[in-house]
Amino acid sequence: MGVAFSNITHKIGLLALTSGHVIMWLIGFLFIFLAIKKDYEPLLLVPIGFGIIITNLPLAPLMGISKEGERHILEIFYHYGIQWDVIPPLIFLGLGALTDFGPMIANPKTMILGAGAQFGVYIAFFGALLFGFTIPEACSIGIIGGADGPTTIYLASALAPQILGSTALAAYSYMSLVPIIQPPIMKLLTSKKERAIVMRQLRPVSKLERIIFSLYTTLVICLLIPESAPLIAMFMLGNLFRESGCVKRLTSAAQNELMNIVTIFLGISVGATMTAENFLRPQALFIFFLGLIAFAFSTIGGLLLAKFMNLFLKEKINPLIGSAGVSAVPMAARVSQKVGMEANPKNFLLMHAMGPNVAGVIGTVVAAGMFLTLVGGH
Amino acid sequence: MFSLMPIVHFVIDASSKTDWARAFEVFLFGFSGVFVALGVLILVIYFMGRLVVMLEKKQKKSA
Repeated sequence: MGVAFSNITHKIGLLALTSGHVIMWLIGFLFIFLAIKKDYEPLLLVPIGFGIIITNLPLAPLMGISKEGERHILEIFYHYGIQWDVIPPLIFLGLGALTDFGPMIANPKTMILGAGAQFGVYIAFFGALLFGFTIPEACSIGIIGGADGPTTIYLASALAPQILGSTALAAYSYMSLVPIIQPPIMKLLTSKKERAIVMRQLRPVSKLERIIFSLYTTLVICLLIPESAPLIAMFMLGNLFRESGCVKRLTSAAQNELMNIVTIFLGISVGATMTAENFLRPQALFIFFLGLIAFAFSTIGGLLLAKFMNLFLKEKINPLIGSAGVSAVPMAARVSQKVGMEANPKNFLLMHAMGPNVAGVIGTVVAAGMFLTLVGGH
Repeated sequence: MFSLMPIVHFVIDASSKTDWARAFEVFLFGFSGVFVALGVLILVIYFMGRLVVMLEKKQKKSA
């Protein structure tokens, strides 16, 4: 009787509850609240928030490995989905099927803005080193500035899995805050005259151009930086589905069913990594702070590069499209459009901003590939 | 009175073990690598665009 009672008391979660668990529940509730009430990246913050809550239920066999050596359910999602690098490339397949590269193909010089907007990645990289993070950790923190969730997860799982939860959460949180973070910086660094620059309408891009784009981009990027191949190849495969027009079922599956299923597993797996022991440390606060710095400097990098390009271009570009180089598709492009319209109500920058916006996705993947090449990982 | 000295000391302590030469190498090759890769892609897009336009013109003429 006494032994049975002792066994039961050792297996009641309530008795093993700590203040750390409760704090993590509150953090989980906060993200669910922000997703439902404020509409901040709800597709991800709802499963992430719920994942945080359930992974901090003491003694619940959800995350980790049992005494018999068997993985618990969330550990299985995390291990096979993220540690095996399955989920981020699948998300990229869906993104490719959703992305229109037309504006970028029509005006390829704006692509360089997607490179300029990686500036914040390296500022945060150095910032992280100053805060005492190791080089692989600094790479994983810096990439938050690319404003690309799957790439952040892909890189962090390879270089610094111990901070994956914090980096992913920072990336998705700031992505949802793009309309709040970017406009003040955009207005600070540009004059009203610059913001009012009207850009010429883009030329139409033929179907053939769109189809071969996905093929040669795969070859060029994967030959130059093989480490970025898993993400770029899947991205371009999704886009080939879309542009070929002959596999509508596959395009639809990649855009909808596959993307939705994978998003559920991604969200809950990321949330599951955020245990109180992992998250309630000063490092998590530093990561959130550095993520904000990365976002701000990526915006600055894109804007300043656009202004620099205008020194040499006959036909000026509106520097506001530079800030869209921070990926966060299509929100960053929408922000450029909105700020541009405030300066000139007849200015339609959305399609022009989509060029650097999708180039930013490629730029971030290339930056991640360079980190993997230089620091190692796979 | 508020002082920044504790933060400065923390940063100096925290970053003293960093291999700065290696970090600078990662930055230099990493950032320039992004520009090189996207630069090459821009060139390929330009040339492919011209090629496609030329081919489509030829096709229209022959039709």
